[in-house]
Amino acid sequence: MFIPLRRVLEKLREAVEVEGAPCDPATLDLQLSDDLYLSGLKAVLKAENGYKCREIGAVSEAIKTLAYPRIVEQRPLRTLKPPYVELYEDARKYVVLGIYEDAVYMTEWSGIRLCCSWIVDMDVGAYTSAAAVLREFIESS
Amino acid sequence: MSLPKLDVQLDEKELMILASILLNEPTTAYRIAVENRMHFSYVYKKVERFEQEELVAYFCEPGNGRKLYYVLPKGILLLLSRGAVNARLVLDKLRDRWGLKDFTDDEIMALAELLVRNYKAGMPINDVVMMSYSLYTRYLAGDLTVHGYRSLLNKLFRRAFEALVGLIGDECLRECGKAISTREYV
Repeated sequence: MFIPLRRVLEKLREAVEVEGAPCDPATLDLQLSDDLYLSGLKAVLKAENGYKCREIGAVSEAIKTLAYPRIVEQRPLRTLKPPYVELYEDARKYVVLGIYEDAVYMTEWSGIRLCCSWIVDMDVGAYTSAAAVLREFIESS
Repeated sequence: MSLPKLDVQLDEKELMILASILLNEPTTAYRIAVENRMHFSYVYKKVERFEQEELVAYFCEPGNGRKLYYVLPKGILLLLSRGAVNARLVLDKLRDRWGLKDFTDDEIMALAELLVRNYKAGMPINDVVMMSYSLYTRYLAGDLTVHGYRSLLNKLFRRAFEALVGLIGDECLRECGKAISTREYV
């Protein structure tokens, strides 16, 4: 199971653009991209003429679960198990979360070369559940 | 002293993130994300861009291997030129990063202003020797107005070229060190 966060955010933006309603969010809890935020259980899109919101429920919680991967310690490369969540990717680098034994690992790759591998402060159960919610979201029509 | 805007395109949000790194450096992408209520992936994307623009660099913390980011002189000048940070707070950082320990606050500020006014894409700002070489060749080519900066530039060039010749070897520095340190370059 491989879940690119970029795809989640693209789909979220589309959903708010198409199905969202004008709103005035009390707070913006978490910034996801230049114009996309979370406010409670809503996704919020900032446009020139104001905000549009759409209720996204569990998807909001899943994104928040993955928002702050605090590094605990560096570890040698392990063969990680799924689910894999890709937090970042560009033409030369990508950052992926995965599981080894009872810990969530974050790995940073440059092409096929591993740059770094760390254990992050994230509960395996919470991570697995969040990944499942995000997979269901991007696979839904 | 007001500075013209450095010609690097960052929006207000990116300036805020860069300023956050400067004020908390050395710091992690995680900490920047938490303090600014931004998703780690969003901050990571911005920091990657800053690295490519040579605005920030990082070192790995011994033990846990966390990437600790700090702002390079080019990033500091950018923040200064946009009024995103107080000049007095960053002069020591600029002086330290350029290794210009005996330059006064006014001299550092004048150098910052000169660099911002004469900035061109790709100009080496982060390395004081390369920066000096770049300024000197532009001066020789008539592409640099030195009015008001003559004393500062002579001091800078002496320092930089001493360092450069020192790299070649102590003997070389002994032979021509005096000429380098007393010469009027501009």
